[in-house]
Amino acid sequence: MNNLIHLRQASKTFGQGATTHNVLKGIDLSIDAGEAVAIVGPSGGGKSTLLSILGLLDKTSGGEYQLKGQNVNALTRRQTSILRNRHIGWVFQNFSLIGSLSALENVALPLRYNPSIPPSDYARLSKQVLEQVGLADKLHLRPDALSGGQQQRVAVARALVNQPALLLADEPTGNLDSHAGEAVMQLLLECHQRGTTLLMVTHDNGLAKRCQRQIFLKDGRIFDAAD
Amino acid sequence: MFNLTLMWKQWQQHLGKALWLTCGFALCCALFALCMQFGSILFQPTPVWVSQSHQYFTLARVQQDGRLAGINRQALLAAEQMDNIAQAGYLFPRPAQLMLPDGTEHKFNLVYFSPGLPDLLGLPLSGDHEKGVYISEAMANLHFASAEAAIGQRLSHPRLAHGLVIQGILPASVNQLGPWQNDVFLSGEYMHMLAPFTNEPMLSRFLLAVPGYYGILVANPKAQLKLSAEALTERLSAMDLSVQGMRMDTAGSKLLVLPGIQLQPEKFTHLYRLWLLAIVLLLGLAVLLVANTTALFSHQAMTEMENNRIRLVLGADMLHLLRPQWLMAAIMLTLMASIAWLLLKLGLAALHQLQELAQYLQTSDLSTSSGYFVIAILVMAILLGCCMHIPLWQMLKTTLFNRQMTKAASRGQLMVGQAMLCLQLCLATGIVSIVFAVAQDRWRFEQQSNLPPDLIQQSVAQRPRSVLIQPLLSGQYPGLAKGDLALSDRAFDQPISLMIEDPRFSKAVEVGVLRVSPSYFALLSLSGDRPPPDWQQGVIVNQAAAALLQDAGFEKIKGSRLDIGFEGKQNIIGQAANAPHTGRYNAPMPMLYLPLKGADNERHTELHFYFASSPADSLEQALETWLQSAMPGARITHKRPITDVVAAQDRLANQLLGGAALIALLLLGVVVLNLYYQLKAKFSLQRLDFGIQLAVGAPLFVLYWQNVRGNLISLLVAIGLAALALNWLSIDGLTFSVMQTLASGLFLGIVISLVTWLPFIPLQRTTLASLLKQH
Repeated sequence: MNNLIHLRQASKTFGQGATTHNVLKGIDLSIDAGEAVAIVGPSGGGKSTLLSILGLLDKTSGGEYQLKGQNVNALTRRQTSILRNRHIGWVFQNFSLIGSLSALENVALPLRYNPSIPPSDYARLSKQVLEQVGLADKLHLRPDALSGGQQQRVAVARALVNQPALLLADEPTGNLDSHAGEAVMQLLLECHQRGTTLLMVTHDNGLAKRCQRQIFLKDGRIFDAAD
Repeated sequence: MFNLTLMWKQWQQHLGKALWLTCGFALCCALFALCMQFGSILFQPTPVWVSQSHQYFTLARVQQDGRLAGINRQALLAAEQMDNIAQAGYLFPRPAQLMLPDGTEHKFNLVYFSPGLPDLLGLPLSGDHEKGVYISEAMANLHFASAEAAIGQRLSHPRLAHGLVIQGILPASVNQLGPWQNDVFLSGEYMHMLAPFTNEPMLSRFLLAVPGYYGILVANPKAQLKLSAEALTERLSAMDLSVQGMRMDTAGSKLLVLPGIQLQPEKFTHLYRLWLLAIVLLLGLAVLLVANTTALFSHQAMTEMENNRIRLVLGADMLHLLRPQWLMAAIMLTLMASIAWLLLKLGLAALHQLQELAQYLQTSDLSTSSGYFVIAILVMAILLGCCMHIPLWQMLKTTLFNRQMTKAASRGQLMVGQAMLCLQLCLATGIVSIVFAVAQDRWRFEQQSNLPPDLIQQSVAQRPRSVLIQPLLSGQYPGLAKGDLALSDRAFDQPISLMIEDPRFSKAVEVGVLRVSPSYFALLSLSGDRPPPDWQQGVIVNQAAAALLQDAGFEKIKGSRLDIGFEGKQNIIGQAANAPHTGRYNAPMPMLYLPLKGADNERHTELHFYFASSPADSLEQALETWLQSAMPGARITHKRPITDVVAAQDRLANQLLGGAALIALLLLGVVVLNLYYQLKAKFSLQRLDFGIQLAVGAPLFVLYWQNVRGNLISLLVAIGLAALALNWLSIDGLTFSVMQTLASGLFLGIVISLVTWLPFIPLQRTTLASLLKQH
């Protein structure tokens, strides 16, 4: 198996001086392409911080992070944006859809930031992926006209539209009822089955167990699941 | 297309304010272009009639009221001898009585020039300057059949054996030299005809000592040291410039060298203050607009913050985020440019109406300059660009992953915000005070017009010729009884403006002068003294002029003598009520009424007849018959009720008040909108805080007071600043009082209190649970 993610002695600090707070303390982590990994642990343990670093929303304060063999700490803001656009799909707990755009427009957004995709393909590709998540009849509705579960499915569709290698989900079912949550989880697992690497932060042990591997994060350190 | 859609979606909530600000920027842009254009003419070192380029200086004496007076020739000779002065010349204005070829004598404005001056200044005069004189085209048309017919004719003077041969017609640019109307332009060689002596050396000494020369000095271009007007003034003031045996009174004035050619520094000072006022207004407006636009874009960026964060997460870069903003800015700029162009055209048209400016600049070259307009647009584009980019830039500096999105403003930001609010309120207080002052003056000066509504003013124009009016005034003409008709030499609303210089006045005062027939006062129903039926001497003053004389220390008005310049000293024979010559809403113009003698040796180009419209048929018929016989070829230029003439003046006053109110409304609108948007943005950020305070029992009024308190403190500071600024600016023709500023402050205080309350209205309708919900 080849390493998609390789983190060595990664640390993250917030604040300065007396208010310094070490959120991640020397994390070593490797994730292979095609894996499904769940990050679990108590609140304040650093789960979301770790995910944001892995998803290129933030940088480590120390240590090394390699994504697809590339040292991301050395990348410029623009290069990071490109890498995120082409290779990472994000699903957030609060859906993070743009309220003024329709479901189709929301899904098409990552395509617009990818110059290799001709504008004539935006609608076709977006529709395709929205059909995959079961929203073929909701293309032109705005987020406020959709249920929570439907909004999260739009978010999943948007995460998948650029066919990323890595799909990151931060509490993807946290704001959904069990039925909608299950549907979203099913979608994420289907993506993984098609070869996408899935990395998910969750509080739900049931969901975590459906992943191949669980990482337990507490006080900024990784513990074995057995611990 | 997507960017356009996105732009529309992002901005549809703010379109009203964006449009409002676009109009503000357009006004700012037009004002900026206008100031640049006005300034470029105002600060030209040489007037338009000078076509040479040298480093010039003007040598003259300055009087206490800022106007220039001439120096003696001795001073000019001394200046000419100074190091670094390459050449010197002079202009010497002096009216003189000259006889025309037809034998009639007239007083003309003569301007003498030193022999080399036309070349020194590049004046376009044809022929040999020493062999004749040049007359203005207006004079040629008035007194000769045509300009061509005037050339070669002679003007006679008792002291000149051969008279003055008309050598050529002056180009229009030389018709007015500084404050002097130039009828006859002639070489200084003819100046001996001015002197009261004919024998040498008295004549030479007199011409050396008479203080009437306006020196024009040219700096030596090869000089090592750059000359300054101050240094020249200092050096010349230290010299003894008196002429032995000739003592001419120059008390109350001092020698002065001015940079460039400046013959009307007092007008320059006045126009410079006007220009400065426009610049202050421009800067104030620009600050207001920048503050408002930054607030708008900040508010917009804040509203879009989460959406932009999502877009960045999805791979957008800064360009992607900026494109909709650029599109909005481009639309705003296009709209602004169109409105600004229109405003600039209107502004230039208004400047053309400013008689004082046109007279000073002596140019009609106030057409729209595309160069200045482009510069103004570019500056506005840069300002708009900065307002747009700064908030977005601030937002982009934050990381994409941040649990605590800091929305509270820093201490520095709060202080800048408060200072901006203070500045805006200061401007608003100032402009509202100006509107109050205009309105108060209008109310103070408003006078009831007793002019008979059926009184008609009929104006007649003809080529200059004498008209025997006497039979018409004395009731000898059939069909026209004595007192049926009144006459004046100028229209009711266009009296001649004259500066009266009397030692009792601290400075020269401006009065209106009308020559009228004795029946003028009765027909216009003006109460007060009436002139005798055979009025030939003496002057009647109106109440405004009488008040002026009393202020100047005249113990009694009637019977006093007044020096009226070209009319010599006149006895005041009576006092009449103020007539609304300048309309009913302006300060009444001090007026001097002189007799329209109606002798046949007086030439008239226009006459104005006043008569009641009813029963007027027979009267009009008789007048028409008289006009045909006494003024053949004359044409009626106007015939309208006198009340219409006054109404036209009132319209101007209304437009002034309306214009001031409009500007005030615009500025007030910008300030109020800005305050409202600031509060709205603050409320959306502090929604939870308000919810918590209300949940723990805080009354709504306490929250309101927390917000309004800072604004009211800013207003108090602004009132103080505005009072100081108005006192410093001291706008001509307007009287400011502390009460007006306080009233403006009170008015603004009420407006601010109401605006601050507006965001609380939806708060009252929201449930506490909803307020406490985290967004």
